[in-house]
Amino acid sequence: MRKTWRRVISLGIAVTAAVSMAGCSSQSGETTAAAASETQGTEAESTGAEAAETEAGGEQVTIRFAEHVADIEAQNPHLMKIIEAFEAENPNITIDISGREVSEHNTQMTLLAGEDNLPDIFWLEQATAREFAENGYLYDLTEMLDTYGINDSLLPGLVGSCTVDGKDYGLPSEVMMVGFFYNKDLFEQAGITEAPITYEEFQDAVEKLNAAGITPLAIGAMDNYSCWAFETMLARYGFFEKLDGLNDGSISWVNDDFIHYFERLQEMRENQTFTSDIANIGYFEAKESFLGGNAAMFNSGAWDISDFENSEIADKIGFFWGPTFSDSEYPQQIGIKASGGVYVVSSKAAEDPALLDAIMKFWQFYYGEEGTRIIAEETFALPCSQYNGAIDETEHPVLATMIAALNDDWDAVTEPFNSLSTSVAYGYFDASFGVMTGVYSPEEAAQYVEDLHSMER
Amino acid sequence: MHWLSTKKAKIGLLAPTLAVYTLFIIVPVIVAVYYSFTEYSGLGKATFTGLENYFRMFQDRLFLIALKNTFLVLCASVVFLMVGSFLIALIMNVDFKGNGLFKMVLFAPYVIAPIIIGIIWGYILNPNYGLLNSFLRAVGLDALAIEWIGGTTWTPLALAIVFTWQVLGFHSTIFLSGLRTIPRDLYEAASIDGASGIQKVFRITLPMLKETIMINVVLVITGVFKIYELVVQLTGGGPAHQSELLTSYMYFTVFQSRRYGYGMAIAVAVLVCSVLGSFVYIQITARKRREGK
Repeated sequence: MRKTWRRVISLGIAVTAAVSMAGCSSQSGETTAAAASETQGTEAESTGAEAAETEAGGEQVTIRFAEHVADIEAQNPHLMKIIEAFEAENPNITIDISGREVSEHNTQMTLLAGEDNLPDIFWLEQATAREFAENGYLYDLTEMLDTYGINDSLLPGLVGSCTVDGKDYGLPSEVMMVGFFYNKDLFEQAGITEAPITYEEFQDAVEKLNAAGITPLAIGAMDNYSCWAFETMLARYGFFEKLDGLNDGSISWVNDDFIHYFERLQEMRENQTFTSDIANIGYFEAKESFLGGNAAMFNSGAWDISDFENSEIADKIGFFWGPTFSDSEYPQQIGIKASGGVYVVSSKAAEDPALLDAIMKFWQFYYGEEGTRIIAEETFALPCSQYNGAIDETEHPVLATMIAALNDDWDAVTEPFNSLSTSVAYGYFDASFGVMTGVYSPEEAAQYVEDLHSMER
Repeated sequence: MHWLSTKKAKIGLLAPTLAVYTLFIIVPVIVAVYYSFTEYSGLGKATFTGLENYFRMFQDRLFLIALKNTFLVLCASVVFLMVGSFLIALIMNVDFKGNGLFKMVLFAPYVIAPIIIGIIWGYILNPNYGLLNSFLRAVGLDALAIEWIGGTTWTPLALAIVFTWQVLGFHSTIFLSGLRTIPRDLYEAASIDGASGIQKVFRITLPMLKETIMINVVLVITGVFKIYELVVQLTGGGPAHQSELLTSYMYFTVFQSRRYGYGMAIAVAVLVCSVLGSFVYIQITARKRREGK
């Protein structure tokens, strides 16, 4: 392989630029200014390590860990590798990890909370995590994150990923970057030379793809949570600017901007943007369709980098943030670059000092140098911590693409989903898919979410 | 064995069953009824809201859609299953070579996990690549290649068909056991009197199977109110909850939308509909029997 083709890019530089990412604790949707920061965790890390040795050094400790994916080995390979490495380094600590599909996992955690039998550490959506914290089920990590130097390792934008009353209750599980992935070959086949930026360009691309007999966008309504890239579109119609009003009732979901958002979805449906069997497939089938070269675009996020890297079309995959809208007065050059779900520690687990120590030691390892190296170099995902290694762009084109997007000058916002209650958030997903499948008109969709939100005011 | 008939022995024998039944059926129902009067997200404390959840149900468009769908599936299932399982039981009641295999094949879907049945039928009914529509298109019946699942019109019918396929063997077996209790001499006497096969069915078989028919109808009613996995696997309740049945909508409300209080109100409504439906049917049948119809 010719070295000239091997542009080595530094993840360290890349992720430093990602400081603009917003965590759930920041004012939702506020764009945050980038600020470089250096790793300062060495001293704190050693303090934590010493404490760990004292507490968990002797006795055998088992940490029960519940994840939100059914097949951890395949869907979160970095976790298994990190656990393996951690256990090798800490023979007295065992991580007993189990996984369930996300909705099943959420249900399970709520039920276990009721039984006071939560796992020691587990994944939660941010809104749910805040609710768990408010009800006393989660351990306040604020002090420990400093003691073990974890905050110093994290990307600055991911520090304080889930706070309640200024206290930290969660650690970032992933860098949430969502948008549209596209197949460069299929775009080229349809005569599209560049990824669309504006809505008009997007529609033009869809028209060309349809004319070439190519399905424009693979998407499955059976998994209503797979609405990610459309959340960015909602943000471009002023979601975050209206959020306070939506919460206090002074602004209704049935407003001109949101109606326009739903109208765009309706137009997309009418222009045959979506997979024809959108109602009968889910996220995974849609992904297979895209990776099989049967659709030109796919709405997803950074968590799919590994799958994309391992696919046959890896070097043909591009990424864009989704269309911008000229009929909206709100900021358009924005992308969701933030913390996704969070890892939390149950308050019950924290009652046992040896267990708590083992847990913190694990997080220290996970977000530390070795864990971050495993994530970046062995599983080619975006780490949540600062990493100064290098990665081969030719070998890992999708990761390189995502890093480039992460570092572009589009402002970072959080996922609207994380600013809403579970009921309203899923209602918004249902409303969006309702329009995409032709069940709702734009007005009906907006009214549907408004009805759900008004019940909570 | 006299000691078994004593009051103490009866209580002793019944007590374990009663305890288990109370613990796992009665208590959860009481708890569900309690939460149905509250606003509760599954965490923290529930807030008492009186009948608000019940009033909300009648303003909830999705609940009304789920109710309508459940009613459609119920009607279609009663028709398909009563007619289908009775006819099949008549066939099973005849001695022919391969009868055992026939019974086994027919009963097999009943022992398959509903989620697997959902997957199998998903491949059959998918409007785009499903076996059924592919076949219909191949034989030139394109007009019949409709949106069996995933649309808003035909999904309840598709669910009823799949449910029928799943439990047909079970209901046929119940009918068969009913048929076996009918004395043969009644048919012999009817034959001597010159009755035709159809006349025997309507004049002897069906009247003698009143109890069996009642049991089957009650089982279908309660069965339909328990359909969950088929909906989840075939349509996921979609698009946009348009194909939900009451049970799947209740599950969505409780576990995805996290509105436990409202979800419990729906659960109570499901229970009431199921019990009431069965009760009314039994009452009507009993009255007819008393009137000698």
